[in-house]
Amino acid sequence: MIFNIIKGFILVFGVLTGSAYMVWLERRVSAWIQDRIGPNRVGPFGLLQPLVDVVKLLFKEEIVPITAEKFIHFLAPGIIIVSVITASVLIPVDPNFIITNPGIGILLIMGLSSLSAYSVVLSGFASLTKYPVLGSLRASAQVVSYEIPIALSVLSVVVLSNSLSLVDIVNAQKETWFILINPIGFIVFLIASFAETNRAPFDLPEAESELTGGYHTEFSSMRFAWFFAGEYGHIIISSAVITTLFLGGYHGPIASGLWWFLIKVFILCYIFVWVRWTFPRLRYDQLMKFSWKLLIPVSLINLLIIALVKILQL
Amino acid sequence: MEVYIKLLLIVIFSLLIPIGMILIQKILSPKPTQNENKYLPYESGEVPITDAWLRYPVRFYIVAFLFLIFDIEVAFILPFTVVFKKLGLFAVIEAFVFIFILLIGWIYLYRKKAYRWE
Repeated sequence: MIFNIIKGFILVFGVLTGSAYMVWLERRVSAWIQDRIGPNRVGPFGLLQPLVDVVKLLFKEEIVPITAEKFIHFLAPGIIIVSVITASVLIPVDPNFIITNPGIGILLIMGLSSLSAYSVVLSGFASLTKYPVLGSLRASAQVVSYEIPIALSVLSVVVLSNSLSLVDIVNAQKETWFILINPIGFIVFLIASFAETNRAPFDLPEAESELTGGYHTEFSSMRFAWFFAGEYGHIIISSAVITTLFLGGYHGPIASGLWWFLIKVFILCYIFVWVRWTFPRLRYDQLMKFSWKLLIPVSLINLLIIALVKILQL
Repeated sequence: MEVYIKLLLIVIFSLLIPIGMILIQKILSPKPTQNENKYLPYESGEVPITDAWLRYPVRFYIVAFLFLIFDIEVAFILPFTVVFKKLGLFAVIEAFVFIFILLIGWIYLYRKKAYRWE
């Protein structure tokens, strides 16, 4: 029991510092892509920059607009961080490092990632000013539209593994990773998770050039820091879920273990940053059409094909 | 059961982190000043004139309805994906019929222009 608590602490602080260093990675990689220098003053390669940023935000005054609903304004950043931390504990990172293995693991993770959408929606309606309201209107329709392709591609993985438990899904990929059997599911899941985490090219809810900051315009100080940590933590969780569902989790060609898991998660996080600084932003109608007209029928048909292949193999 | 008690403990623990950090911030941050303009809504420097509750397009309602239809469908397929191996080919054919009806519904909505944003 004590051992489990220590493991939990390590995972939670790993995700929190990981989300801080995602900000660093984003800034360095974007600077590299755009031929700039990026943060390099604080510590070697600017590695202490995230810590300094957090300390700076701790010393800032908290500004709540007069129109705000005080309690919900306080609650919204908390929801996203709680959902990210809880989801991080469910993911099997190593065969000897499993904290809990509920039988409905993947459903819980999907539920928690929908819960973080609530934080985006509530933050806009709690601050009750124009930019955040517009941002959270866009966010609610977007998250709702991309929820279905995600759920359908998760179902196509469940068809292959016949279990909702994350450990069972990982162990079913010991010989062949599901990305080889189910490549369309992988691509749909990856694209839809860009939209779920509000990242470019689908970052309409917080489009800087249109809505200044989108839903977190009216948040300052530590609440803003929680939004930031929650958003980057969500990227890490999405990468970890993609690794678990499609890339074989902790299984690797030579020896399976924690290192394989970390390498795969790092590569996926890098892809998230890379995509953001490579593709321009979509228009809102293009965004909705892309989900409803392309991703949903493709993932439905993919689910049918996977089920047929699986049953005829027997 | 033990699994869910653990999960509950984790949720409580993760609630403590933001609350603790906000308490630290309350101690460290400067005290609010008496300048009222600072607490006005941010609208790129303009003085806000109307309420933030805008009239927004009816498309958003349609998206909510579509989401309900397709999400309930996902909830119906979910049990099938876990147990279809035991039920055999018959279950797959039934799922085919179910998803086929849904695809017809999808085409109907497409023809009714439910996915258009103008």
